[in-house]
Amino acid sequence: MNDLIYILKLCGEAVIVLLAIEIAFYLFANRKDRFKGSKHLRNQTTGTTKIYAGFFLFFLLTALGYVFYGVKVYFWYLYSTTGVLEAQAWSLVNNIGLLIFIYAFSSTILVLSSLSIRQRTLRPVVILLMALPILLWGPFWVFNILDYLVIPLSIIFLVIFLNFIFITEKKLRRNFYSIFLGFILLLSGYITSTHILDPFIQLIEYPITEGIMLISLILIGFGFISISSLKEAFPAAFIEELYLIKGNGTILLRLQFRAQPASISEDKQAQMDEETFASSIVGIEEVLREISSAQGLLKTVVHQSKILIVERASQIMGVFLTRVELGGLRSHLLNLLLEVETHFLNEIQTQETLASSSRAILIAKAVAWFKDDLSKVGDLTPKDIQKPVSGRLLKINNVIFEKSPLRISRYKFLSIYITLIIIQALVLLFEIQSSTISISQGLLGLLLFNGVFLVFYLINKYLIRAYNSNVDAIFKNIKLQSEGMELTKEQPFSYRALFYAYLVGCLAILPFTFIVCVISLNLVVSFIIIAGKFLIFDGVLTAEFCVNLAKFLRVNLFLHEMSQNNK
Amino acid sequence: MINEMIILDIICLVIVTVLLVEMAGLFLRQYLKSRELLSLLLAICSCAFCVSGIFYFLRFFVIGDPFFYRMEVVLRFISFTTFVFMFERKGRERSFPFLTVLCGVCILALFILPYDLAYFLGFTIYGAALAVLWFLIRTYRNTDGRVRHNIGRAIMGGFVLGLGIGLSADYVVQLGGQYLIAVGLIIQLIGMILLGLSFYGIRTTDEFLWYSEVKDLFVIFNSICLYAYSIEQDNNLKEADLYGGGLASVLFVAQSIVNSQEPPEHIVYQNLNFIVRLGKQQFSNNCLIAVLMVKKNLSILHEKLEKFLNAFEDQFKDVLIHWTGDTEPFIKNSGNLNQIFQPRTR
Repeated sequence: MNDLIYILKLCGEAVIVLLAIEIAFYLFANRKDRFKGSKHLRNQTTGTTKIYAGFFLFFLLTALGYVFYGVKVYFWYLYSTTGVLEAQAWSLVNNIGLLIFIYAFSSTILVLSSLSIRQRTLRPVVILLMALPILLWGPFWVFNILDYLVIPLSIIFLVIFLNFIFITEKKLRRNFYSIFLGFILLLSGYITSTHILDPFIQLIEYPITEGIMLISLILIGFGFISISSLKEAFPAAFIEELYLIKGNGTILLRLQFRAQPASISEDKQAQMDEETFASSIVGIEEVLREISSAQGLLKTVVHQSKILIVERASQIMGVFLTRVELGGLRSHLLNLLLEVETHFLNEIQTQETLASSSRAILIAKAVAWFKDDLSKVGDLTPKDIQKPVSGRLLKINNVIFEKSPLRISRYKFLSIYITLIIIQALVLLFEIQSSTISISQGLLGLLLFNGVFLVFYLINKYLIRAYNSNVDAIFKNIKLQSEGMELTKEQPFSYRALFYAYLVGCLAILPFTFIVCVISLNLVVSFIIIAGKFLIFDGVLTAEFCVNLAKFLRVNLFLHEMSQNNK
Repeated sequence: MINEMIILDIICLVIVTVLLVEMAGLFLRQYLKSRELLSLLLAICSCAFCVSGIFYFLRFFVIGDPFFYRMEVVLRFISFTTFVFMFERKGRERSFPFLTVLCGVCILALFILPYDLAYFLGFTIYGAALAVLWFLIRTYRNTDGRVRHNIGRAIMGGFVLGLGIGLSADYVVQLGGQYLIAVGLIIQLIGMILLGLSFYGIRTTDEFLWYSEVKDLFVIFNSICLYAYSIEQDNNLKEADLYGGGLASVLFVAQSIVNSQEPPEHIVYQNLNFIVRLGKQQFSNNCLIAVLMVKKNLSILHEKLEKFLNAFEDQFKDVLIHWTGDTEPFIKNSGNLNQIFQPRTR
């Protein structure tokens, strides 16, 4: 590697880190979806915040990974100029970089897969791709497998991302395609930074990785900046009402997307409301025209929680009553107005209102569009929200059963996870320092530990969800109307089903208990190692004994033995 | 083998250049959106600084050619001159921009004069930098709220950037040593981050020149217009009762059609925007409503309207509690409040 390539590579990596951090924090800042309308507007039913959080994690970890890649390049440059390779440091930096890349993929996949888009095709793809490299390379070539894991993880990542493209349309879809292309390049960049292509070409000798990564980050950055909000993917889902009004204030059509009138009196009230609404909109426009002394059109009225989007064709005016102001809504409204004018112009000009058959056609069209958009929202809904469980009490034959959802706070879980990682890392550091294990073994131990933790977390999560949905289903069967309702023997109720549900609930708590036990064990291990290193009790404990005991208590012993056998 | 210090210098320089390119892109995007001259000038300024950084790199790390020095200083001078031009046209409203012409003469002289003379003439750039600082301070004084906060941060960023440029200038490096290049570049990097964050926070440079966007102001109480003032023409509106009453009815109708307890926050009518604010204090179970008619919906105008309404409530608290329907006290005594919508220095 000559000086010029070295400088080019380092500068490229610096810019990659900068761009990745910028994209990460741009996404972080947009996670709550700031709209033009009102600061009070929030919609918590969609998983857009999770999508932003997932990509934020991805880019932040990418930046961190490329810091280590930069250090790796530095070591390689030293090797190519002096002929001396700091093998241990090189290996450490390489492995840490690789682990960070894998964490970037897996954490983002985990966050995004908590949305229901995963259910379509993803699960078998994930299993197949995760199994593939293991079958190819066997269990001992662990870091080779890690290298190759980047490929299936990249494919899973792209499959997840493709789901976003499928739910978008027009301009938004074009932007998502540019981001998708960026991601393909970015993943190619990732792969070129591993050892996979080493048998064919030493890519570390050329600034190819950096070039690919830079192009990809620029594409992704432009793509994300062009998307004002992910909610643009399903604009109709935010509409509450649609009005079509003639120029003289006569209402042609009113369609409520949220609540329907329940009784005749409410129906009459609704009819009165819609007439008032239509004339009010026309009235507002007239008054504003007088005040501003200009020939214009009313466009938007923004309230604290509702927004009126007004659009006009030559003969009729359309109004959307929505919760957010999205660019897509206005164009949808205009298209609808033009369509109505094209098909029903005669009717509009000659009659006071639309014929019932025309109204039915219009309603069917609008409802179909609305339903289509709502289905997209379903794709992006977090799974936890899909089956809400609320706390209630049920009294059966003087025995009180509690129907309360089982939850473990994610912050608690995260704090436990961070504590564990710190403890585990410290323990491994001590062991590496005392040369009882190698750096690779230490990193592998850390990776396996994370894997075990994640597996237990997932088991825990699935069991809790199973318990909640089981209990919910049981309580739904008996059609509980209010809290503390006493049931008679005639009402169907299965004690066995409730018992199984509670059993699952008890099982759900077990993995959590196990994790708490692991923390305690790790604390004991770290204490023993520290005691062995600094507090040697003559005749009672020796340093060697302490380290051996620590190894015995943990799975590292198994790993150590395995690697010895392999040698 | 390359020295670590040089690597650090080059990396810092590359990052500063990338940030400048990004900033130029941000301003260019704003210009394409709003066609505001200030955005274009800021884009030119960022580009000029970016290219000047490339000449700095060539001069220090490739070959110390005097041409590179001339280009570096001239480009920075050009970027400052854009601000000087803006200052004279918009701030001072001069028919002949003699400061801009002076800068132009300096730029020409930097090209023509022998290197030694040009080197010393290059120091006049600090005069242009002072003009830029004055322009920014003037803008800072004319703004409020979040925009003001961001401009303050931008001025600080500019100071830090200037300090970095000063420290990495060859005169200082010759005196203090090579390490000052790295120190200067790192300081420039910090300055650029500050500048970038503050300009990104402002979103549009139209916020700086808000006063050209304001038209009329109305204060409504109990559906009666207390005060109507044309900020654009600097006089009280004729037929204020008619307009104010019309607006009051618009707000009332808009409020009732969505079954809301409060009037709308904002109405867009063709190219006009009506910003509405509800007062915080209650007088006879009613609140004041202020409506500002503007050409562009800028965040600074929302903040100014809120400030005006609070001041109006405080000033006429006693009158409003026992109000009998006379609007004369408001018309006569609101002159001082109009200052909120006037730029501090014309």
